[in-house]
Amino acid sequence: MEILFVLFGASFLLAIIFLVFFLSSIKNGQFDDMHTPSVRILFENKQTSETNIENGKSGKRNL
Amino acid sequence: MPPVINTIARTCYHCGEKCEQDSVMSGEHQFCCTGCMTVYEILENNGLCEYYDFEKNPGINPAKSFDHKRWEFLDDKKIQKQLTDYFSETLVIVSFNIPGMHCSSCIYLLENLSRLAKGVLASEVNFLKKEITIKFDPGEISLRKVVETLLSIGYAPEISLNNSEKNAASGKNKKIVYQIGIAGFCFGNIMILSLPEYFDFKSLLTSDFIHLFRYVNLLLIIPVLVFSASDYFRNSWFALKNLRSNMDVAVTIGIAGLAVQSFYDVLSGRGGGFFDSLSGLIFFLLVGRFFQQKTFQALSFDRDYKSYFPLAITRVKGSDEKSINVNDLMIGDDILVHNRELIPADSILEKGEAFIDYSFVTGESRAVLCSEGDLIYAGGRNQGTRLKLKIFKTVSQSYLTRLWNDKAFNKEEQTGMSIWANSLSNYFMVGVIIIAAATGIYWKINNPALLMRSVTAVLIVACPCVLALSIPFTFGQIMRIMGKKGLYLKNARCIEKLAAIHSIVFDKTGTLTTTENNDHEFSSNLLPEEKEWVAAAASQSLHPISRLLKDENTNPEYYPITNWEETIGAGIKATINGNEIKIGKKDFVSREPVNEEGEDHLIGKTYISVNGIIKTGFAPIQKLRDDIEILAQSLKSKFRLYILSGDNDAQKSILEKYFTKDNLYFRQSPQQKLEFIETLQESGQNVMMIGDGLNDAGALKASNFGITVTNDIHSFTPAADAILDINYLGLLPKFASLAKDTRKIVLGALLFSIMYNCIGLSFAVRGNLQPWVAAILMPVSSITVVLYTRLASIAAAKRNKLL
Repeated sequence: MEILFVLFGASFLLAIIFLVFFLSSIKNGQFDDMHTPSVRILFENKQTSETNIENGKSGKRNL
Repeated sequence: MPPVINTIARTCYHCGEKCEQDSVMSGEHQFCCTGCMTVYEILENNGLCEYYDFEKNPGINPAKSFDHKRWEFLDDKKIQKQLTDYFSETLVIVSFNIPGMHCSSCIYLLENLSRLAKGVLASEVNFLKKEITIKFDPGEISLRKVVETLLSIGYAPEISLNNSEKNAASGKNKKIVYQIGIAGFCFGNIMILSLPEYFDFKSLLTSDFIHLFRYVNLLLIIPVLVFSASDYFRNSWFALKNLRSNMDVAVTIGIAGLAVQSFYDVLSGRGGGFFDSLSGLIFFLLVGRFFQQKTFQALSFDRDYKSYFPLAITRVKGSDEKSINVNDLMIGDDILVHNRELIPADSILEKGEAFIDYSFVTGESRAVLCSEGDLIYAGGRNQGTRLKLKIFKTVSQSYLTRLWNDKAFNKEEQTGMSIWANSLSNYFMVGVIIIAAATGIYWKINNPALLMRSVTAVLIVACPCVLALSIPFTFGQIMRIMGKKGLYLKNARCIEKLAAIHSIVFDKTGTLTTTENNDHEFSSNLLPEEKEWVAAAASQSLHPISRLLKDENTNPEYYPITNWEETIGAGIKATINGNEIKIGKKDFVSREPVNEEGEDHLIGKTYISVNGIIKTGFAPIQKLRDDIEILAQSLKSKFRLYILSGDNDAQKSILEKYFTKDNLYFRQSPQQKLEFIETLQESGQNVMMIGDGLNDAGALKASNFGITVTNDIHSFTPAADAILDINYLGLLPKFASLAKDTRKIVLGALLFSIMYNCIGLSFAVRGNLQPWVAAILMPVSSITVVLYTRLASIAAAKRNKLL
């Protein structure tokens, strides 16, 4: 049953790691804005939209 | 008359507005005005046309958002330092509120600002706060240029110097999340480590394990008590110091009872203590508090005149014109106020005549004509040509701004749990102490060994935690329901204030009346082209009615006008494209002599004629909102209704139909409004004030519950307890009755609380409260009561037809 000492230590360590992640993500403002990132992810990245400019003017779209 | 083409229900590609006769084309798209087309072309040239892909017609007409402020002051280094979050030679970080932000296309465009303006390094949007944070290189682009770029695409930023309060609020919000995180972590671990205590694992484990687990629990509870529960201790300490008692005191007694008993059990080796119940209790209480703390991030409830007034104004010294901070204005300074700018301080008109629109300040709907030497009050808006004024009083001593020195603005704002809830918990506590004392006396006589144990058990079990949990959940839920229907409360305590109202005082202008009036009457009989001519003719005049007509059209300058003439007190005439346009009184407009009909004359109807034929007539008075009749009818039976108007009594006869004659007051100054509210309160009434302008600011603050009504909830509103979307004004009786129902819901929760406490007490008074009983009772009672409040709130909202 002595293995419980190790298991206990491991589970506790894991929980502490999660706690630290949680606290640091609050500190970094991850939960400050719960809406905008969900919209932002739908925008195409800059690279593709820049190629669209060049092609977009002539009315063609090159994908 | 040219044939009508392209007007059949086409909408502007940019802003979605219906395209009229003067619509313009660019490529294959149609626009309602050149302003919208310009924005489209800017975006097209910069390859940002994806803007139009995310939402249909996402744009904002730049003519509408442009508020005619001047931006020279942004070049001032001192103002720049105050506005920016970070300022260095190579990098500036600045955040603005952009009330016009409304859809995902807006996010796309604003976050790609760097492609529109060279020198902008990055921009990030917080949509819920309607805030944009821009990083730019001051070497390449100036702050003013950044603001002007935003303006050019129709997103006017709101710039004011008192942004600091917002940051403080978000810091407070974060603290409770930390507290919940810590409490949750400890609660989870303590639960696992407590399991062996409840089940028969003890035989499997050696006593070393049991002791280790108990001592780890003891260590884990320390951060919960010291950090997570610290607000409860602090609040109850303050309450006791002031010889008051509140819910937090009751909760603290429970927490302390649990903690003392548990520490004693573990340290003396008698048992595992109640650490799991204790940490769970604190965790659930904090979650409830967090739920209640929900705020409407994008709204600001505490604005004063400073965020309405301009930041800077042009000062003239000799031939030198300089933009300076309004707070630096001295008595005797000469200032220039341009068309549609606000007058920042009481001042004297030095030259010529001026039309000043005081509607936001006094409620008076018509612009006032001032002539040389007249005193012009701060807060008025210049309607017309540039004015030169001499400052008569400093900004803070001006007639309007002095209102903020009134004691009503220094009222202490109470926070935390409501008064009513606190008084409930006080009764609760008295009961608990009596039971504890009785138990103590009983065991002292019968079995002194059980004395301490049973008394602490009573204190633990009788803690009104179920009540403490139900109140924030109920209030939070009700607040959300109201928010969905257009009433945004400043905090949960406001629900209770709303429930206690006896009388309601309305402002008239902007609250009961609407400014979006004569649109139909004016345009219905006119051909689109004639409408343009009328607007063009009107644009030359300073008369308030002309201004109104002019606003109907965005580009009146296209039409060459000849023979323009204004006859004071009669009207204007002009010739456009060979057509004679007349606007004014009936006998002025018509070629034939007319018999002035009684009613028309009284309300000052204005007529428009083209080539001598009367086309249309309209009354420029403000119309009452459509739902006023129903609103007044349904409120009358429950509340005393009053009207306080800064305007004249032109609409008295109409208002008398709906409101008691003696309760109508006209021509009230802001100070008089404030005093009227206080007189009502002295007669023992709880007063609700509903207003919209700066002139109501004093009354809103003095009242027990102030509601600011507004068309656009993100625009400037004076400080109040709640902001109401004007379109939902008719729901007011329902909001009031829902607020009253909230008390019933909490009373129901009290019954739950008493029931659970009776179960717990039956164990406790006998002196055998086992940790596992507490460990089951606590979460079960918490979860059922949260479920109950949620269902009861939804049911109450449905009953009031708010859901």
